[in-house]
Amino acid sequence: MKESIRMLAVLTALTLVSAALLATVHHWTAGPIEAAAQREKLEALRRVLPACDNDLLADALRFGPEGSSRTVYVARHLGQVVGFALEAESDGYGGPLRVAVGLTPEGEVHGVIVIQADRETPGLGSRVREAAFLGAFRGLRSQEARAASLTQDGGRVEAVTGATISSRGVARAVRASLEWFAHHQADIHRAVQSERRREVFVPPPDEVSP
Amino acid sequence: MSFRREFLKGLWAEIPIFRVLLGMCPTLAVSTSVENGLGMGLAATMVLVGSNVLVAALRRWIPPKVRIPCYIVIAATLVTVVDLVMNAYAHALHKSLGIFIPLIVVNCIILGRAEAFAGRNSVGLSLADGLGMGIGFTLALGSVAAVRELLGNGTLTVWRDLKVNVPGFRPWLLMILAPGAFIALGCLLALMNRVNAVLARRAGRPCPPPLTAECRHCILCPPGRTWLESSGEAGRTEQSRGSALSVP
Repeated sequence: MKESIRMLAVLTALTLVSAALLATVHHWTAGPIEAAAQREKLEALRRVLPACDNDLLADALRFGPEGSSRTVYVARHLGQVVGFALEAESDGYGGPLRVAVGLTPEGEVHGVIVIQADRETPGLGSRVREAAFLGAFRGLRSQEARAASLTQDGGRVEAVTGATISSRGVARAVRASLEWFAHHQADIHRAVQSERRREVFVPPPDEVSP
Repeated sequence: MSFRREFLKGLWAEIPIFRVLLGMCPTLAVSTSVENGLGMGLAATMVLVGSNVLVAALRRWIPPKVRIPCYIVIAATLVTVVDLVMNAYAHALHKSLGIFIPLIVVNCIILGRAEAFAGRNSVGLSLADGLGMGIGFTLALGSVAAVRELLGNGTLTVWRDLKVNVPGFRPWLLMILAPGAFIALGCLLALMNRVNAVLARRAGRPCPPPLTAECRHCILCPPGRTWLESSGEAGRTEQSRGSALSVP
């Protein structure tokens, strides 16, 4: 009995100390982790947008109801709107793919960057991050979103050799962004023109695609 | 039993992946580039040193029957701390190592050294042991990664931009994938065995097989002169997984 109590006491004490330590470290690192994530996102967005000088995160617009909204990042230079950026997710070979698409105000792709593809095979699927593959998306217009697919699927983008599934995933994400943008282009421009730029713009329910 | 001796054994005689056959899973998975290998090795070293020191410090208070859960709590806490700190201050490395940081907890080296060494030795010696084994693990992991990355990608990424590109070399893609991991590991293990056998023969002593292999399955000693028979030290060394050198 005494042995059991001792075992229980030691384990409990150990786990309590461990929990306290973890709570402390978590509290200390929460700030830097959040800052690092924001920095990463900002850097990715700047790489796909034309030169801009505004605070991308503060000027972002949210479309749609709470919980399933889409964020449109607005890039301005000297007050003028020079581009938009969208994020999109799709399924890759081993896990989710997240992509950011930069568009000109007219809806032409300015750049694509892969934000997350860590479950793709290194050396194969991971090559979807390379400029050689992503460069093919440049210049595609949101009106002809169907061109944003692989050549074997009727589009204009050449897949990475040996990584068809990862390539298709990225193409799908870009296509989805282009289609969404084309559908909401008028709303976006309207929201941008309005004086109260930071307000969340919720279009009437029948205009929001599921 | 000196600090120097305990430290040095982890670098060659009892190096984690090639002699003490532990920590193979993260090796196979993470060794796709030297940078990843080194990063993983360093993170594992931090956890191993911390875990060894804590277990050694608490060894008189931990009742033997619950020692494994206690070791696991200690290791898991340390890994979570390392994970959070890495995420905050070394974000790029954290992203490339991904899920393998939390998997350090189940790296058998951590639990193995806690059980076989730190649980019954002083804090100082356990520190040396952890440091030696950790650095040895990093070196071994780095060498597997170097082979795989060089043959499978034609590059050698030591750290971020510190890259070496081999021009005009068409890489053998298999080496970057899972089969290549096994092939690289197997070949390096065979090489290590060969080197040890030659060195032992030159020094006139019988050749020690890897610590968790069974003596009778090894073919490194010349007939009639096995390690067990000549050394008479069956069961002497601390085994990370029970007495692997037990007489067949």
